[in-house]
Amino acid sequence: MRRNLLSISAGLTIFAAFSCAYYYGQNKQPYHYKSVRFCPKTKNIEKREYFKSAEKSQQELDKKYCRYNYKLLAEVWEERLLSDSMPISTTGLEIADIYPTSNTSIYLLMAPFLAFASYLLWDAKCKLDSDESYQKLEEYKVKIKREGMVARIDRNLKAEEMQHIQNYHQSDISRRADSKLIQEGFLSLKEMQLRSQRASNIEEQQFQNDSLQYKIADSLGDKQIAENLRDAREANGKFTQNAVEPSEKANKSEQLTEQLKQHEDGWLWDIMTSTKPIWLIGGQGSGKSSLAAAIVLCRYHLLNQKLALICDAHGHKNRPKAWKHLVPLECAMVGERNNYEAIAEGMDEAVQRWSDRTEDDAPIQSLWDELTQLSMQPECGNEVKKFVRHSLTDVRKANEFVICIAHAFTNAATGNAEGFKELRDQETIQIKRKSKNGRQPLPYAELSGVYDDNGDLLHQQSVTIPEWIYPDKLVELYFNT
Amino acid sequence: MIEDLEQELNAEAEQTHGYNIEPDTSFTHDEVEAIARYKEKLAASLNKNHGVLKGLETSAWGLSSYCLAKFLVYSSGTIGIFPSIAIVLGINQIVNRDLLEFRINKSTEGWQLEDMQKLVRFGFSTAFGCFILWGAIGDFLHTMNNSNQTYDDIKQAIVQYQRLSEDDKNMTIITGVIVAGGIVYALRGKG
Repeated sequence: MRRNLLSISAGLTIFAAFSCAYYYGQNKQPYHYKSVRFCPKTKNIEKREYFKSAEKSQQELDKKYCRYNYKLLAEVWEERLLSDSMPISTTGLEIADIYPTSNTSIYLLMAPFLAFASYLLWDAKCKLDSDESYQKLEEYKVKIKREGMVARIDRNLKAEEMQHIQNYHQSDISRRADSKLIQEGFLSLKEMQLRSQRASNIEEQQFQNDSLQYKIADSLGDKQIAENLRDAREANGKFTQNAVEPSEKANKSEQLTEQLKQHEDGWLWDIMTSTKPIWLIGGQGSGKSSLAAAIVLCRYHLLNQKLALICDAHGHKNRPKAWKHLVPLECAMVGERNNYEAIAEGMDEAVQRWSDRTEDDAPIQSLWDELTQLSMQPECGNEVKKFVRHSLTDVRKANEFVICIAHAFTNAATGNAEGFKELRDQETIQIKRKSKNGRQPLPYAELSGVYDDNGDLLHQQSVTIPEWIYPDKLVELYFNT
Repeated sequence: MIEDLEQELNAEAEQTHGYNIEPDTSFTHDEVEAIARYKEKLAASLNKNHGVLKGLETSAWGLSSYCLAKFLVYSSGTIGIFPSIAIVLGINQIVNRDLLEFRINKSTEGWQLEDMQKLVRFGFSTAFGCFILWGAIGDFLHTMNNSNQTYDDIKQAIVQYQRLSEDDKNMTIITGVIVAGGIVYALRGKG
């Protein structure tokens, strides 16, 4: 629309320009002329014999000279009168001015403006055309790409369809040929069934392999995410650690260490430094998770034991609650969102790690939650059993400090690992906690597995849990610097 | 040496564009050919438009030179003749400045003319300029020439008229001489 308007305007304007120049600008009488007539007077004014009369003489003179009316440019007339060496006398001349009939200068001056206006209008149209041309080209590319893609997909579909038909006929031909061979006795029915079974097994195996590949890919992804999170926490941890003044931190650590050593003959300090796995046992709301987090925090800050991982099927829920002070300690979260396969892998890796590490390696700690529930899961039940068995014997030499949380220290909680109850009682520290109403933890617990001053193993010793051995309190009082 | 310098200058000019070229979406051979055909069609349309634009530009300059020349002659008369010629030829030079880039070089084989096409086109454009010029001021020149002729005719008529009394005087003398001669001859015949 706009382009058409510009085209029409340009056409009309150039037409107007030509009209102004060659029609309205023209003039039949454009110059200033002088009209000159030479009419001399007769000198025969006296009446004499043999001479003509004055009137007759004047008539003859007029007939000879005055009948011509000369017209010439006023400019030429005036110039010649001035510049000629012998200018003519104006006596006897009748001179009159003839002026131009009209002034057409305005049209002559307007024509160039109209012509250039036409040029500019067409130029604007050319620019619009150029832009539209590029847009058209790109749209054409999109169109041709889309249509080509649709056509290729259609061709491929038809080719695949043909291949399917061909395969179907091929299998039909093979089946008929096999039936024929069986009928004619060249092939037994049993042999045929065996072949079919083998083919089915191979397909099944291929399916299993494919599933395994997908699981491996998922596992690698989870591992990468966990490593990235750990690196991020490590970076944040380093940043916060650098901000803390070393002397203040050391003073608070000394204060806490002294407090741990002084509480009820120092059993808290004993369990902190013990290499035995600590089992925190109790019902819901008994405070076992918070006590576990407190032990982890104390070990991390006082004994420089890095937290390697937290294995928790409900880790995604506990992140902002029980583990909120542990997540920033650069640990990996394993098995979140009920990923029991990842937990099984984590336990296998832990067993392998205990086998690989030595006492000279830097100390690390790991936290394993909900073992009672994990032991009942088909995906990781066997791994729990193996994990518990190895934790009783391998962790000390691997310099790893393990904390396990369960509802009860039963065979079920330990993955039905029967046959080593005595070993289990001797090689673990068990802290059994209770709650008042399922929500409020009681401030005392039963402690087992710790040696007293006489070297006797304590069994269900009643101890109190001080109110400052909670993660929030510890962070507020000692670890907030 | 000069060629090397020119190459360097050209290379610098190319670098000053400063645009990175990146490949377009991939297409099949058939698609590329179809796109090329479509592009040619679009280019032809654009070229046609640019041809019209060039024509309008030439028309605008031609009209301008014609109208200005005619206006000068109308308003200034003889004084406007030379400015008119200067305007028409000057505009012709401006419009066709790219046509002046032909070169005449002397080599061992003699004089060589490069871009002769431009020279020929410049000749045509100059002839067109002269045509415009004659259209604008030719009528005035013709009128001026006629006016001079007319002035001469008037002068001639006056001169002819002034010569009449001399002729009468001569006629009287001749008549008197003839009459006197006749009288003398008659008297001598009687005597």
